Amino acid sequence: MGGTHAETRLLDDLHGDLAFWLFAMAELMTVGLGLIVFAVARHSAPEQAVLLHDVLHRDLALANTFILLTSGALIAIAVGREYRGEPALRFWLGALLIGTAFLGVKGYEFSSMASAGFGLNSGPLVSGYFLLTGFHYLHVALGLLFIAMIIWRRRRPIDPDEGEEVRSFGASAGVFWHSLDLMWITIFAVVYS
Amino acid sequence: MSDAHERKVLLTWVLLVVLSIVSYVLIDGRGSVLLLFGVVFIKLERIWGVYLELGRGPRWLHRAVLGATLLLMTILALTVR
Repeated sequence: MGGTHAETRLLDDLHGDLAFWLFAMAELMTVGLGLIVFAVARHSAPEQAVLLHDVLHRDLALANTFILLTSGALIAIAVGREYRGEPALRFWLGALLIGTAFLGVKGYEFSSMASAGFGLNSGPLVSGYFLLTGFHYLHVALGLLFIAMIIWRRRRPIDPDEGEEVRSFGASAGVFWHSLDLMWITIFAVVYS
Repeated sequence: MSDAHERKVLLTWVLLVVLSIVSYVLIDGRGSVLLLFGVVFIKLERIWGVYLELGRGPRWLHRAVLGATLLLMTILALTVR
């Protein structure tokens, strides 16, 4: 009984939903393993590594790093404000707009790579690039969907009875988004190096 | 209280932006893995400590995620260079 009580207390203190934490951890592990495979592939195919390095848009990747860091900071402020009972809608909107810019910039990079003749069948290293960044891209799209749901839910005043549940979903989306930030910073340092 | 949290968030944002620029400068095959360690550590420590802490979150899960990620980064560092 004592153990159950302790576990309940730990989970009660959890910021956001436990499922989102587990999801974020699983996704980080997946990307981490993918990066290890990518690093090994680069080590075993140095000529392709040079080719990939030459065609990647490092400046756009840096721009996307700023974009994700800024949207993450806006979400952190939004979640903090909601737990203090302060309005946060404009921060969620800012995060949505800036996060959408990430998809635009990355989409441009994908299309530019495709125009240069690179695709999933261009060798293990280029395929690894597309798979890793594509995986992250889809997760950003999912994160933006969560943020859009949060904004939609806040278009009217929130019933006090539902306040905790609504705030908790916002915190969960924050956990997910910060894991995307982290994924990208790791991809940025490993894939674009 | 509000100002204090938002100040910490902004400070973290500035720190990460600066580290990203340094990473961009150094990324060309020169010590990016060591830098990556720094960025990941600060990111986890600050984001999952400061961004989500708000005086109510537990540290046990933050530490579990931090430990697992640092282990993974160690493997990655040994593999990359």
